[in-house]
Amino acid sequence: MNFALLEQEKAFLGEEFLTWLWFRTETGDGTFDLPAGPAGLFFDDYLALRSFETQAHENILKKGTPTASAEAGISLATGKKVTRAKMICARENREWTFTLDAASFRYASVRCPALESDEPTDRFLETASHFEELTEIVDSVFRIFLEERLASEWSSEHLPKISRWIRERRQREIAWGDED
Amino acid sequence: MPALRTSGSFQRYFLDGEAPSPQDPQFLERLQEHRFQTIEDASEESESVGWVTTLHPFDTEFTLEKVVVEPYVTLALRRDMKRVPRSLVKAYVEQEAAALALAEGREKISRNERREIQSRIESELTRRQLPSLSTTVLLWNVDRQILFFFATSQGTNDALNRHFRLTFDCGLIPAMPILLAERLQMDASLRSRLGHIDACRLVGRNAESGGSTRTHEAAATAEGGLA
Repeated sequence: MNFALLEQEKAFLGEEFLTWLWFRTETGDGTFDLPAGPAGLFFDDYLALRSFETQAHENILKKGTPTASAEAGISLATGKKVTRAKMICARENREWTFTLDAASFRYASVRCPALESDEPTDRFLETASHFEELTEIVDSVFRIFLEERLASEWSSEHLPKISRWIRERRQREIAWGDED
Repeated sequence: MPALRTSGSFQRYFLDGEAPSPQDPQFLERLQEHRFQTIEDASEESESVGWVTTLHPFDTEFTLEKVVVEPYVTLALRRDMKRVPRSLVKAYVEQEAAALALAEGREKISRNERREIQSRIESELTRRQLPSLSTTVLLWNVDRQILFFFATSQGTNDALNRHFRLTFDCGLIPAMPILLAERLQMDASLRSRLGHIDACRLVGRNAESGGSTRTHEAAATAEGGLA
């Protein structure tokens, strides 16, 4: 199997997931009830968006809260989807930061929660379990996305909500711009 | 006790097939067989890839104590490369070619002479050059058959894929979204749709009115661009 080609051909699935996640965090509270316990996934201060139709156009927004910016709204409204995002993941008193690449699901610059153990073996196992827990949380949220994305109601129910969110978000930004 | 940092970048893999268990004597034997081999004395540009322990890049004495903390196996893939900078080779060749032409009272040297000079200089410089060294940690949950490889560059990941197969006769499947989706617990009817899924447009009249999901290409053609 040519994994590089497959990654390129199916990159949209990860891009739609991250864009859906943005929609979910902005229209909800960003927390998810998962089999291993509730967890939160939130966007941090790096966001890259690209259009499938115009591969050459990529918007990279850094610092502050990129998801709240008008530039991000314009990108969404012109059909771009999220290709990379820095995220914060939280469960109970544990917090991770990481940058997720939509096409490959490669995790970059991961910072795990502080260790509580003192003994070397326990510290090793705690670190390993932090990496596993992070991916378990993202996998579980990805599964929630897939259950919507693959459902027959996707086109009639879920997609229109995302589309409306993008349009209304952009309309609000334009209205705020007019007030200024 | 293997070493593991609390931060880093990684690519996750699933095991494609069956690798020997760490308790199987074959496991350590295979690691030993495919351990890192130095290229410090090589006189040709080369690359060497092999296993070392996570304790030190020179440590190729594998024991269960060094690589196993159940349910994990922790190894490091060492990848050394010897490459002489092209600009340096060119500078030396120019210098020698000019000296030879001058000594023999010729305007320039032949193509064959230049080739011989270049080959000799490349060999001399490569022998003097020290290899670049990189080690990348592989964390392998043996029970779940999931692996975390702490590098995201394509070259290093390709090296892992080749060397892992060579060592354990077993491939690795990257946890990219479409392949991860196939492994998640989901209703069979939903899973069956994965094979036919196409990209969808999130904006435009069709998306908002609940029209059918179509590929970007088809949608763009039909609607003449974005709404």
